[in-house]
Amino acid sequence: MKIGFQHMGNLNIALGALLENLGCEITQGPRPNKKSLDIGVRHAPELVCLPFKVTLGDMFGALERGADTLLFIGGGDWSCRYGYYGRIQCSILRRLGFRFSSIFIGQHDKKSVISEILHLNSNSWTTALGNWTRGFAIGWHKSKLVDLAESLARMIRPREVRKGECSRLLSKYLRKIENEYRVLRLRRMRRQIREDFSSIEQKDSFMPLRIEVVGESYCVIEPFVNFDIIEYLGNRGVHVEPFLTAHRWLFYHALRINEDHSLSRRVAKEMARPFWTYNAGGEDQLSIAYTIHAAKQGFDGVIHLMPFSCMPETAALPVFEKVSKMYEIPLLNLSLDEHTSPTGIGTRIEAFVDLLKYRRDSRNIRVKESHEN
Amino acid sequence: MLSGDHIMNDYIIGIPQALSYHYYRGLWPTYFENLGYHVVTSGRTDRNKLDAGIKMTPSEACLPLKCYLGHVLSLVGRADYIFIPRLVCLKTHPGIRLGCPKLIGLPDMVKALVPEAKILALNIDLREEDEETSYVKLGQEMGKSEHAAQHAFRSALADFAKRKKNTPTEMRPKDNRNAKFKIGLLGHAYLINDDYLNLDLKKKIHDSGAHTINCHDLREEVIKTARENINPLSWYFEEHIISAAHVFHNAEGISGIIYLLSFGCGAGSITHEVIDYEVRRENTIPFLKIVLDEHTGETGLMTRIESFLDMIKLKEEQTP
Repeated sequence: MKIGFQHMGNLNIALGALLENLGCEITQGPRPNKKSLDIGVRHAPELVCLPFKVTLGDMFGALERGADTLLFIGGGDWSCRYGYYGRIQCSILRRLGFRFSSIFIGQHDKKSVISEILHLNSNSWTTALGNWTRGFAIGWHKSKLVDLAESLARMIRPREVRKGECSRLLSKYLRKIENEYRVLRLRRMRRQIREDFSSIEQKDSFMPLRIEVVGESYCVIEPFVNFDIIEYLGNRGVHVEPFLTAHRWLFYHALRINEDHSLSRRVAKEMARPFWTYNAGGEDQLSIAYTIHAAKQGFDGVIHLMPFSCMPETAALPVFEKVSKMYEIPLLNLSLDEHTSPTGIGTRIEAFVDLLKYRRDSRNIRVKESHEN
Repeated sequence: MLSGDHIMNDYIIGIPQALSYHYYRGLWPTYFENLGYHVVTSGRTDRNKLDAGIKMTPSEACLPLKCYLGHVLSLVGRADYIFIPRLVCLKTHPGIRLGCPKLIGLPDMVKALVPEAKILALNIDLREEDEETSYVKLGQEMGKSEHAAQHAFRSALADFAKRKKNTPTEMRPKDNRNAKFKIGLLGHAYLINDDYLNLDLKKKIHDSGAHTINCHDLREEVIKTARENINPLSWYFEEHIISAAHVFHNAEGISGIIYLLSFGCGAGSITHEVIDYEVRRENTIPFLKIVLDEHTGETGLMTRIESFLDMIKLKEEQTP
């Protein structure tokens, strides 16, 4: 079985490891690029949101490379369009003449998925169970390592002395993690990553601005659609922290495991409830909670990313502005679609960062003056 | 929601006449009147309301939502409390059917945009409690007894059901007895039943010599049978539209279908796709999709409708 699935940040490393251990062959399309987006835009309904178009391009690429099964994450009783991606994309791709079977995680009946796994493992329960456990362990460790490397890179990049060192180290480790298949070695790699990143020469006295990125999960995680905002700002001396990473997203949506230890889902819900009572389908309630959280943690600003016409985020937009005013944290809202240009976004982000710098400096002066008096 | 104090009997409750109001026509005013309050509705949509709403809502929001905010603004000052429903989950069996995210977040959104309005929110979430309990709870929060609230809701509901039963399935305008064909109208009730938002579409079609059949006037049994033939969707109001599309596509005597949706309606982009490829398939009945936003011009709409109807006429003449 040649299986293809969407791209989303570094999701492919963890999910690919799990599926490979179950006996699938991974056949993914190329990473999202201008060409795959164009294909997605051409075949998708006109008014649908950007992630649909990008992931449709991914699926198209996978099928062109010979995938015979497509895996869709999410689905079922969602109030957001994300729940229908699989259904509509399958129908579009079948109309284009592709022949393939499809699996919907979260929507498909569990029986057929289990029987499929069994079939892949020569119908033996013990092999299937063993492979599943092994695959899960490797996937989990890989995912955690990727998360660790990414978070270290985010933290150190704004303060590095030689520009580009962090990104180089990160891509080196991503490759290394992808090609490693032993749990023990993966575990050992953990310390090595920490050591290597901490040996990067840093500007000691420099305090970078800190910005939290909230919004729709795909736009926050996928660097192609947000123009790699984390690296872009990191190279300009700003520490950007996304509220959701591919690791947290995958394990929350597939297995309901919460992987953010600074803010649990329950606390986040309680935090957002006075402003936004129900979760409207996407990550809207969580995003609002993280905006408040960022203000409390002393972040300098919040960037809110969403695809154009996103249902839950558009509804929550006025609430974001209210929260931003109430907690005195500057907010920049960027809505992205296939016509968004990197220059336009770059200009807006830079202007926002300049404002944040000015705001912090004037605050510091005020604090100093009050001390002197 | 409420500041703790009970709502006095001489307080006025305002009900915006937009969005979900069009689905629950009359239920809410009757409920509050049964409880003994004075009720004002915001009336029909007009230029002033829509402009006021457009000015304050985020530009990406859909047209009906902008219109709703305009209605709320027109009630500020005229009513002491503004009633805003939150439709979260509207059906639990056989599957969960939810409202659209904008309906789920409506009271919170209004609270953020119009901080001066005092809001009376009703949460309907059938996953947690049934409809009656929600209404009774609201009544109790307003200071009424459980019994009074229950009675008020039940008689309002009975009224609502009676009125729904009496609406004609097919609207025949008086001056249009000899119209030749019937056009099925698909779309949300808040677009089809709001003649200002849809630029008086129904009248335009009637004037051009055709009947319209509103998908919200179809009998419940008809919709129910159609619902069994479609692949389920988890949005409550979209499911109705798709079922109605199924009815129109398989009914005798329907010459064309017009699907109205608003720009920025997230669910609409999926619904249209589902209608096109799951309901419609090989069916050749003429189908026109009209996307409305605040810039839609009357002339442009007229041209499209006229050419659509002319095309149908040609088609009918050619096939004896």
